[in-house]
Amino acid sequence: MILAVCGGKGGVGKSTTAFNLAAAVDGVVVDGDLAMADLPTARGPDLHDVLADRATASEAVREGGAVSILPCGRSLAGARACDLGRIGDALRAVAAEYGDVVVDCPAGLNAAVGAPLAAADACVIVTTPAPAAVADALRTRALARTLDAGLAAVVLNRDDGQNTKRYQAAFGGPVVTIPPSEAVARANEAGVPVVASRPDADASRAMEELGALVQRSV
Amino acid sequence: MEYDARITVEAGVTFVAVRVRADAPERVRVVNELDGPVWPPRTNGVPDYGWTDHGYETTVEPDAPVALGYATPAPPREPVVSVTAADGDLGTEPNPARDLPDPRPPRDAVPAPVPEAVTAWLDDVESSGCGREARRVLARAARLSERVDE
Repeated sequence: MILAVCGGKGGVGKSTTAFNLAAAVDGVVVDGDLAMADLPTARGPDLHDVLADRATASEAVREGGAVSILPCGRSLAGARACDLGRIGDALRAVAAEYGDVVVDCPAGLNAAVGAPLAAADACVIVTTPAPAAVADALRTRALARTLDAGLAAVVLNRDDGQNTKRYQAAFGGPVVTIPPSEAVARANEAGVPVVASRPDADASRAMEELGALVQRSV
Repeated sequence: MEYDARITVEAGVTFVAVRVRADAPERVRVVNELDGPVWPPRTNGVPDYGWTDHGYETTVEPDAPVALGYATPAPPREPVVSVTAADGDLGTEPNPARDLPDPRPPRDAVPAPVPEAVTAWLDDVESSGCGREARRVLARAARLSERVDE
């Protein structure tokens, strides 16, 4: 299964959701933010190399950490040399070898969002309750629809869960609410998924619920 | 409908430029006749709309001649292309990697790489042993590079 985690607005929690979702479904997380990657990095081949045809996708996957990851390079020159036409094949190759693949898409509505969405079986859209974030998330929802990426779930991040029904109606899909959480902030600082470091936290339970929902829907 | 084709050869690559005019709106197919693959214009690595493995298809309006170009590794010969009337749509699939905006940083934002001659010289210095002179040169190179970064 290839799952694209996207949302339009920056800073709403896409990377945190992708990282934890990959941990929850025991999949590989792919850092798809070519120019502003923020998942943990590692030495050796990365997504820049894969999209420039310098490495195969499976060579670039790092196993052994809390979450298997295909990291992304940090250099502008590396981002510039990427050929996004290759990302679909790269994601399919990782899925064939590892099973579930979760792609952390960048903010915006550009080709680095569209190309993984087109390759994905489904998407998870992340937003906070802020009106600007919701508007961008709805635009991303529309793009996903045109690219045939079904909506597995909407993640309503840092919310109290009072208006879930409204969001369900607006997006036309199930909504998982993640409460504001100190545990998530600490886990992010330590570079580990909160589902592993604090499985008892409310946010971890919500992430596990998201993982189960996604696996049922695809 | 009429057309003309021009070719230029650079470094073993043949660049083909074609112009097609028509008196009435007409759907045309431009097919590469050179003995090699078509390297079409691309956006984010995906051939632009209308291009296939063999050439290009488009509609030519009477007041708007169509100009197009591609490259091929094949050597030049005649005829370069054939242009025929086409029926229906070529069926180029929508592709988000091509149709959505380019997410990559602009070319001007990418710092110029260290010139090859400089890295070769540094490699020479490094491989010629770690004598006092070599260490002095390497330390100076590191200082200069720090200054450049600042």
